Amino acid sequence: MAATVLLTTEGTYPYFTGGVSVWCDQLIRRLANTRYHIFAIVPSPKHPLRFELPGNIASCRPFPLWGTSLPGLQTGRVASTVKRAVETTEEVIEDRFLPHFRSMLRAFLVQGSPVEPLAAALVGLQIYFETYDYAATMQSRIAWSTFLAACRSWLPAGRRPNLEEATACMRWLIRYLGILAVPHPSVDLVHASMTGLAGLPGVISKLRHGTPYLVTEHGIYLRELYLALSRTDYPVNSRRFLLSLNEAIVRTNYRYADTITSLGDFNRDWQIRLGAEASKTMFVPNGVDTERFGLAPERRPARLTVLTLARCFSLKGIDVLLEAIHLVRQRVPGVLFRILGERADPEYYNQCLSIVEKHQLHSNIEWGETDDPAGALNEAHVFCLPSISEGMPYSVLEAMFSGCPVVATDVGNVASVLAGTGLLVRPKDPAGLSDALLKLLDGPEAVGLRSRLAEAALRRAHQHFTADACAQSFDDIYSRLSLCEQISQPV
Amino acid sequence: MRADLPACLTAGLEARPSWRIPLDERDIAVRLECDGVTDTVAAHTYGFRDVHDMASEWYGQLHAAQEGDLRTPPRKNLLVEHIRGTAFALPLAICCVVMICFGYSLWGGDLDGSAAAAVAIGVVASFIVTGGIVQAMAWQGLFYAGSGDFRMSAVACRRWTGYGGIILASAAVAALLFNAQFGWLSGELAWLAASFCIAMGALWIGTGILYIVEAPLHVTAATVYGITVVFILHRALGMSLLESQILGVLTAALAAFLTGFLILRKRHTGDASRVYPRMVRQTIFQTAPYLVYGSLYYLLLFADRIVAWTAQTGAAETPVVFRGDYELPHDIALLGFIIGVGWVHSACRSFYDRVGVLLRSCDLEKTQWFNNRMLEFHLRQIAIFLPVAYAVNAIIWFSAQSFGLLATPLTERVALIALAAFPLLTVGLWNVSLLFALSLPWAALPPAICAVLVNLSCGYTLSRIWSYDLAIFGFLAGSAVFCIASSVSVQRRFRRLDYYYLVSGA
Repeated sequence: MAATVLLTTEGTYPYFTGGVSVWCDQLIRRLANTRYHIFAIVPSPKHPLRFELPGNIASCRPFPLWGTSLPGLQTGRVASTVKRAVETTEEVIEDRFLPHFRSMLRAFLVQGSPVEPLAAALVGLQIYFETYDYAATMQSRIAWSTFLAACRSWLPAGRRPNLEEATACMRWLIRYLGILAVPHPSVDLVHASMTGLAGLPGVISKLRHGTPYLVTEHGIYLRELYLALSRTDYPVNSRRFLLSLNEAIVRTNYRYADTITSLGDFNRDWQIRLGAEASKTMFVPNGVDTERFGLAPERRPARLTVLTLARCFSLKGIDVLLEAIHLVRQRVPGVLFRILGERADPEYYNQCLSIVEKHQLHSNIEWGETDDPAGALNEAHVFCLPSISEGMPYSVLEAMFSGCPVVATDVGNVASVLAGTGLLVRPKDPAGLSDALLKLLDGPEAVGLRSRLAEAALRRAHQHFTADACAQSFDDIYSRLSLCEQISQPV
Repeated sequence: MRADLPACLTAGLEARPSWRIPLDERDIAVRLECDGVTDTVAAHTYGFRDVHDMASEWYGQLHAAQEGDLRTPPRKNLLVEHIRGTAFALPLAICCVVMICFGYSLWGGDLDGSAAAAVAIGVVASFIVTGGIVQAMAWQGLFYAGSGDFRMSAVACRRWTGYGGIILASAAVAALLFNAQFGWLSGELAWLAASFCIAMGALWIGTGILYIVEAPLHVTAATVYGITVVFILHRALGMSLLESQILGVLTAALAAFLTGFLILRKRHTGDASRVYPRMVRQTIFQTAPYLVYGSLYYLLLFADRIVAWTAQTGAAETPVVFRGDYELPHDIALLGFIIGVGWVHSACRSFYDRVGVLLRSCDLEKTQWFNNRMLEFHLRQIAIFLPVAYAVNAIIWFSAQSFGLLATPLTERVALIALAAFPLLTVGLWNVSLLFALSLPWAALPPAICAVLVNLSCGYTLSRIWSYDLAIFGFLAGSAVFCIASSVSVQRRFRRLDYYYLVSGA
């Protein structure tokens, strides 16, 4: 009988494009005998499907964190919503909700708290929300008073939020915990495509039903949160709360996951540092569809072309690339840089445009998006990824399969992917990036170097990074975990 | 030496605006990694064991560094907000001025008694029938626009326009059938009333869309356009006034729809957002209080006129008699209300500004202090507004007298009482705006229901015992009840404003 898997995502498949989404799509299509239920956390309900769902997806439930008039699950059944709300009296909240809520708040507010009480509280809350109304409970006066009292009791004076920060923190909590009110189908295994909120169904299923739980981290959830928080204008105590809440959830994910897969040493080191047991971790590198990406040297144009495939937002370092282009152009005036990808952050894109304007780079740059990355890679002489943070970028793997030599920043697992078959530079270093690019674009050695790097990268890619191998690894893990389940009990 | 440091550390040492206090050592490690400091770089360039060792060392030095400037939301200019608020009422003012100068306007004018009554019924009915639709559409449209989902904002407007059309048509058919049964108006007048109801209702829905896209001047433009059409058709082409007005109103409505939808379309062009399916029951459930309140509000505004028009009709052809001498002073008093509406807009803005400032300066131990300050703010705003509003209304009163607009004791009496009532109504309107801002639409209903009942019962009793113009006392009493009941309701919520404010944005 086909295994049934609940695959959980956040901000990715099937409502957003990007590396994790591609991985999900490849995995589901290749494991055609596995039935998938998708639980996708999305920022708001407005996002349309960005992938065609294959036939082995049994259900796909989006859960919008924001953009709904009420928090929690919106069923559309008015009568049942009203009935549940009426049944959610103050006494019920006090007796059946607050003990779990307090326990959970303690875990969120007191750094280094053990994760077991938090996990038990999460299970208790999910059972509670099976019967009682989410919005009526979380938006009750008593829940707010409890939150304020918890902040006063458990946070030291200097780290206590003011009322504005506390309001923001409680609003986050009200929205995030809505996940606990979502019922999930009974499955053989829960596979979270990242830790954090997307991992909570796995933790709870593990505890309630003994369902095996697999976590696959492409980036490191908490590390990316640090990065995001260092760029926000949230006051420091609000940032602390978000970090502490997510850290507790991530540690709970690691604690209850049966297996934690990562893409390389860099990520694994972070996972262990954040509390994952080393014995649970294993590598499963991303893989590329070899039928889509391959060599086509005849398509290379006469004009020297450097390709960047990346969504345009600050972590991709496009601004650094533009500064490097300014330097490269002084030696190779005719070079064309194609920067293809969704303009995910319009403000950042405008900032990039101002750099283009400042250096008058218009004739050397082509902006756009593409549905055919394979074609774009075949038409480029060099691939460049200037990111300041990455997991295991698909675009680098695809460039390797396409015989396009790579210049990339030494971030995440990029170094272990290339293993000497491409040029690495420090992030945020335009001069270093331009030097590396010039090695492949300018001078008598350039053509030979491009050719040597491309051949070595192609060999390495076929050995380690095919989508079939990636899917097979997960199929093996599914089988192993399902076998374990037959002898395991709920924790 | 410092020049060699990674940019993130330099930013901290120099307390640059982009600098954010690191939350812990790992935070510094991540920032170092993003500056290209790998374990090898940390060891070879900076002499540490690895990135985390380097982060640990630097965290000790930087964790207490000054935070960069956080962007606080800019405070809006209250005068500009006042003008913006007034701008939405500008079309009404233009209509009043045109009426006073030329004897007719986009609707109404020097009509014979029964036709004037039919037009008046149609106009008042349009307000009451579409008032709820516009409120519900505004709530939903602004909700989506507020979350950046302009496509759904446009869809909500389109759907509510459809619902509005159905409700208007149904109301008109029901009224015609009712009239056919009871014979209140002649067939021709009944059709006239129904036509005005539909045309004016369309205009209110159209201007509601312009309200959602925050384009008050477009509302004015649509009104001026409609008035121009009336003038061209009636004066230049010799069409009857009533036909010209119906066509003028429909043209203005069309202009409002086109402009509103064009602006919405421009805002969501290129946005690939999903269109949510219709969830009729859920929509009705969520918007019910807005639907009910919208109609109640206009009933409160017009109940005294209905009472006055139906009192002491004597030997008149119809049970409804349009009273021009009751209407004119009401319209004059309306000018003061328009200024008051501007205050409502700016006072709502200053509510948000005040909440922001007080929340930021309030420790968790002092939530009651915050609530008390906001209670004071609410009372202070009213205490400042009422004397100013009455002073403005006194100017309007003396101006109207000096222009000879209040020629009879009756018009004087009605103007005086209406001018006394409108500031109270304005305070009630502000209170309801605050309740809506706190996502408490149901709380707006009891004050509105009480006010309408008091208005109707008081006005009906006085007008039936003494004179029809005493219906204006119903308006005064209703406005006073609306003001007091809604103020009590707001004060009750403000005692736990920290909680209600939390829930309003959750």
